[in-house]
Amino acid sequence: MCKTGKTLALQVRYLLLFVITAIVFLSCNENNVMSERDRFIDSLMQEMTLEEKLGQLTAFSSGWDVTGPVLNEEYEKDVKAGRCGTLFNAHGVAYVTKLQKMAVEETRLGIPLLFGYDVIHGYKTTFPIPLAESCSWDLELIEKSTSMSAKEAAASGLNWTYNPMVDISRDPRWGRVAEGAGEDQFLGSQIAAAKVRGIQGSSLDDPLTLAACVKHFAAYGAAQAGRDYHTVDMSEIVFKEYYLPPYRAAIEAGAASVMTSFNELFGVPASGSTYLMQDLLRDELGFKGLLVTDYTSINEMVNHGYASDLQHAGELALKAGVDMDLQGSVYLDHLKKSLEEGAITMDQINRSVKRVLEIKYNLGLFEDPFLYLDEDREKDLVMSEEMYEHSFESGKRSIVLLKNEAYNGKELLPLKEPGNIALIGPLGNNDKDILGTWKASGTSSERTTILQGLKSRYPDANIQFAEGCGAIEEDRSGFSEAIQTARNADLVILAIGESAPLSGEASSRTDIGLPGVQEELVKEIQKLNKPIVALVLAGRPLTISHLEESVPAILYTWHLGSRMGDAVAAVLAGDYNPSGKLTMTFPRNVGQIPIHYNMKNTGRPYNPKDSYTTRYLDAPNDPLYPFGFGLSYTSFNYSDLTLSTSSISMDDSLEVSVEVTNSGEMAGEEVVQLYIRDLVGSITRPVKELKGFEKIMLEPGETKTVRFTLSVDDLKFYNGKLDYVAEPGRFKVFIGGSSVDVLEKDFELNM
Amino acid sequence: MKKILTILIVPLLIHISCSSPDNNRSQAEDPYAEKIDSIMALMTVQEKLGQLNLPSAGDVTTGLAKSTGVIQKIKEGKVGGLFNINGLERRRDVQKVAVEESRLGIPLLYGMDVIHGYKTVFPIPLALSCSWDMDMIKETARIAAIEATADGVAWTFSPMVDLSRDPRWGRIAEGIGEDPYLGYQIAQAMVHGYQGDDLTKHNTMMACVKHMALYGASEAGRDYGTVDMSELRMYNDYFPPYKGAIDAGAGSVMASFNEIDGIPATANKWLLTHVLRNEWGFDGFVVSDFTGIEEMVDHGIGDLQEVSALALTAGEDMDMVSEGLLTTLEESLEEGLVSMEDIDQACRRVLEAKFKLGLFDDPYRYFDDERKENNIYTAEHRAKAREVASNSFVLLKNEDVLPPKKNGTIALIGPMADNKENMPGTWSVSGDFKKAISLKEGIQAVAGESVNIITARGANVVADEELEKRVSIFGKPTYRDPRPADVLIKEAVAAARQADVIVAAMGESAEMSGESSSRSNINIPENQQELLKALLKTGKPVVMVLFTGRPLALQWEDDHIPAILNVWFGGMEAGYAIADVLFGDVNPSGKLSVTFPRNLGQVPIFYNHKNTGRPLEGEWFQKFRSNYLDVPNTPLYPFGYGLSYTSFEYGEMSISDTTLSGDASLEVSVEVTNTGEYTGKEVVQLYIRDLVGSTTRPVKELKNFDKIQLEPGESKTVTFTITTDDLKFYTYDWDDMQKDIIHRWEPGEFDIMIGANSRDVQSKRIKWNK
Repeated sequence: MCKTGKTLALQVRYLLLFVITAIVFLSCNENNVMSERDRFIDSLMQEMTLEEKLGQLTAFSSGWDVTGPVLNEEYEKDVKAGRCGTLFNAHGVAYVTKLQKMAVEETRLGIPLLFGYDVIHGYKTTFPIPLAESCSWDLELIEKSTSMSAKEAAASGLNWTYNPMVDISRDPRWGRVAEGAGEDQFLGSQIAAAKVRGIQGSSLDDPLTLAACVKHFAAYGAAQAGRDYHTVDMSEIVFKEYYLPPYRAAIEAGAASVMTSFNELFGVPASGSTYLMQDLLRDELGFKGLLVTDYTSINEMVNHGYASDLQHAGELALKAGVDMDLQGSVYLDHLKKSLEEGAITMDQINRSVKRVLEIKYNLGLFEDPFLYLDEDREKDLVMSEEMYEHSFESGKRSIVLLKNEAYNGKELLPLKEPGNIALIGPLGNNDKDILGTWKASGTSSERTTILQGLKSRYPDANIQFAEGCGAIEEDRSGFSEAIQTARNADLVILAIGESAPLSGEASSRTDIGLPGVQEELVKEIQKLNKPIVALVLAGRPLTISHLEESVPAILYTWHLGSRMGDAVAAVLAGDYNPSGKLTMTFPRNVGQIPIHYNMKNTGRPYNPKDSYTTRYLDAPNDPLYPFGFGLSYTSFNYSDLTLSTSSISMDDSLEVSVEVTNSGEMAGEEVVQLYIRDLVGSITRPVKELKGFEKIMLEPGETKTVRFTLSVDDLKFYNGKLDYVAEPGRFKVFIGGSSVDVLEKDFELNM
Repeated sequence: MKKILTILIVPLLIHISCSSPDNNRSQAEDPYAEKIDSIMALMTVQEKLGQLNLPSAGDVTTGLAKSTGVIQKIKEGKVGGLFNINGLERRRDVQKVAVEESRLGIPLLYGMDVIHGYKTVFPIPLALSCSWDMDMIKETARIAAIEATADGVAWTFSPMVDLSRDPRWGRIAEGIGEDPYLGYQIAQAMVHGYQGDDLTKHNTMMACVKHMALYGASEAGRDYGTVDMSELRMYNDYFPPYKGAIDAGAGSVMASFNEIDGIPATANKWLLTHVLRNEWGFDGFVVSDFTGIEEMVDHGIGDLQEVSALALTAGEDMDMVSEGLLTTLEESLEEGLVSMEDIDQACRRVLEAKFKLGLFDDPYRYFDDERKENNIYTAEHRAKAREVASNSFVLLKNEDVLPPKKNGTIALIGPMADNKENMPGTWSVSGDFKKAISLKEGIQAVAGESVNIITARGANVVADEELEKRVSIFGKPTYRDPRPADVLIKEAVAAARQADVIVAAMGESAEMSGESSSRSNINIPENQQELLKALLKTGKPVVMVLFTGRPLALQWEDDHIPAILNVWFGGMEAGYAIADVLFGDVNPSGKLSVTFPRNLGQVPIFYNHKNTGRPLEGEWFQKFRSNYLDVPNTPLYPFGYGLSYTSFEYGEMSISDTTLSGDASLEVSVEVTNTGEYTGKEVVQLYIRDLVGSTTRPVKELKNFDKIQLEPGESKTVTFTITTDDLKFYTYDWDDMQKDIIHRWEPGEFDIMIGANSRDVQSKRIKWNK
């Protein structure tokens, strides 16, 4: 594309500024780059009117109509008047170029636009939903997925993504668990950092990277009764220990921006919380980047009952340190008046404007507003072979084998010679739901259904498909066809679970069983006494006790994206030996929620011989599948858990090793997990805390020694004074293939 | 008596000759200070620790350990009080041992779980709370005190005022429901009822408010689970009922099993000293719950010695069953983990309680054979129990089925149809359930000869025999019918076919709620639902008489059954009371004190939730609003809800002003008319909403209520006065940038709402300026 011309246009506008800063820069010998940027931004800000400044704090959404992307006429006027500095949901090089040109060429100062988009698990090529991918416990894979999706999105003209979503959640009713990394803050932190690295690469102004945005700050995943946007309440100690770490990790990994959450915490909506946004985010976590609201969340502070009207809401948000108003237009419409009335200061506005300009600067947009706009690159990268290949790779690694029992003396999986297969279920030949929630621009032409995947993997097999029923409909009229299809087969593969809209934002469910009449369908099929493999597609943990009790093989396949069918077929066939491990506890029923592996022991831990210990009358305390659980087609044997010493002092570290042997017949990967328990604390400690993991590959018969180093930092927690400390005393170390099946040893931490 | 007299004389001498550490206390503040000083001057450290020791006598145990060798310990002065000792004779004998055979002869304090009545068992507390009748609730505590003290017990581990929003939690049955304001009032009524105006009287007893604190917020509704919440939520929602009891002068407090901010309540100094004593001015003593001290070892904050020292220094005075204080504090004293002042303070508080009860004047004050003979389980008390029970039932649905005529044939069907042992409800350890009135007996007595009653069990409580055994405690029989479910149903249907109306008496058995009886499924047990379906198929009108100790998920029942009367567990006279209401001799007037969800997935659900930033407008799902895909946000039956056989019409509410300022007060009134055919009682409820706060406020908060009785056609005007005290809440002072919680009202707009329940209200907006 004709990039030079446009750059020239920009350079004319900024020539003076650049020259000045260049001169200053040259004269200050080796002065740092920061000051160059600061001087540039300072000079630019001196040119800006109040309205233009408020415009930089304003983001509006582009829409789509039947013919393609379209920007609301009002917003177009705003962009041209410098009253909107950021657009989101606009993508595609041609369209973005048109909009960027508008900003650069038609506004007084020609400040380029930021282009944001929810690229959560892929842009056009869709990767597994984040919860699924977290089950790979493979940080390199996850980093690569975000780097690939950033590359694809950047090639389509975007420069900012509202990713990673790192909200810890213990409540599978909440639909947005699909977008997160599960319940554990240690794993969640590692994944958060990996995603930031993947999205941002080594340099923000690389046209193949995006600016990341950590969300949703904070504690959004603890919505009351699992209902999206509902009230959040917890102690500060629990917040800091369990919910805060992934945000912190993403910020420490250099995330360029943070998004506020919709919920309140400690009685104040996040977008107006000085405690969260100033004391914690800026002062304690040292975040220097851009703080943007979630969609209209400033406005929503009126509904929350925290602000009396929109103007008040804007003041509260700005004072809390929120820089950019996403879609709410509150800053744009009201802050001028607030300033006149003295409710806010020009310094507060300037502080935020500067952060917006900084991110634009860091993205290289001032140097070249059209940096991300290259149609050739777009053509080469979007939906390219490498994207698809990665989707396949990631899909396979996200699947969790929950059960694989012998049927007629032989384990059902992997399926070597399948013969006559009946594929039954509403999701068996579905090319839409397999993409999952928040699929960005993932479209229907370029992916495989499970049926397609099976057919292409088993070209010689006789594969018959029947839906049986819809995913959520109450209609049973397809049962008879499904039963007939199953009757004629040697093996039934069920493709059941949730359609994509059942999880994700504003998709909370009070009943997390198989939706619609699917369980009835399963029971009908079971009457035929055929061997059954259940593939469960879902965006959350489902309560599948019935399957666990009655079906010999279960693969939890989530929503895997563009290559779902191929990924599932590869695992079914044993081309890839499943290695996923759950990152969220699967409850037996809704009544056990919240249930998580890192619970406290309580004063009355369950004892079957004593009725007055913590229990339910009607369900066990333990979950259906624990955190960290996942089977393989091979088996792994753990032995020789060894500690380098039985006691360490505050500046020592402890070496922990274990021998892991592949005792089965297939090569396979295992996620070796290390947990600790602090037996006595000044406040109570959980029964287990994940503190390390390593994913290893073992050939049949092969043994590897896996080593971990535990430092005193790994033993720290927030005490009653909210100091982050390690306390002397006894600890347990556990190592195993899940949070339940572990070897254990003790050690002592001395003063 | 001789020894005590000695004690009371000797101290005077001591007092004159030496100065005690506490002698600067004024006589008015503490009338017993000098006497206590003088006793304590005689006590060894071990004897002081003995006063802190509360073993279980072993008749009934509720936990992990039993106390051993109690009598010997009493002689050695190692026991300060006893609980779970049954029988006046035994209590007297054991007291004699303490007084005559221990070195100092300090009398024992006898405690007991007198939760909802003593021998005359009243409805379970959750049911009582649905009466919204504070005089009546106070009266139940008064009668409980009269009976218990006549049997030698002067200290009750009641009221239990744990607010809970989780129907899975079995102990919701023992509490006050979900509302802080109603809970505050009930706590006060209970304490006043137990303690009267003079604790030394022979028929008043010391209350012990429990469980301090937040026990009802157990994680996932599982009893003894972890509790976590913000301080704001503690102060605004969960603390008020405890504070109500303290404000009413409760003599003692029981610490809860759960942790708060990571520290078990039993060793939580912030809770037991800062909040309870410094902020609320509590001056009684704190006792642990059963083995509460020892359990802190499992909580993981230390070994027995450490946790005992932590408990004492946190403000815990008496150790129920663990014997951690008795056996470890001497060593801790030597090691400097606790000070002599800490021990003295706890000992002083226990002795003070004994003084308050008059035990030093007469250790046998509560052992009076004549009172035992004449004051327990009297006809008068039983009549009260019947009246109270009929006022605690909540009519959930009635499509012109109730009340039936007192003639024809009634099929009385279900596991609760002809059952005595389940009537009293959970924690009714003193009641003799064999004397309880079954529903069948009640209907026979109330409906008389002209009604033909056919009874059939129809179903066991639950299909799973093992579950039923798990549920039954204290060796209560389960009375299972061993026949298969379909046989039971067939028999029931045959009976139903002959009837004009079917009364289906079903739900939970008594011990499916209560301590350690959490459920992860709060539906009517499936086998009973099968029975209901079969009964409905007969085409006869079905009245469901619902027995439960918690809110159940009744969506299916509400959809299909024409009449549902929730009778909870109504106490010894339940059978009569239910019949009184069924046949309209008493018009039901109970209103729910806790929300009934549509399904378990909605839990926690409560009326005083926050608005959120994305409230749902209207009933059904809207994308990007706070709601569920599969169920509306609204509960099945809201807080404050309950029907009557008559109907009440509310006129337009009037308010004295729309703009107020400062210390003004607002009069809100409404005319209520009985527009139906029956005399009835109505609970008129006042709610407010503070529209904007320095921290967000709930969409509704109960601030007052009035239970009125109206004859058919009668109208009454109910007037409430609102002052700025009613507008106060706990918040942070952001301007001050201090994270200390403050209690204040904030000027601004308020919605004032009046209605018959928390859902159906009329509303007026006012402005209240500074």
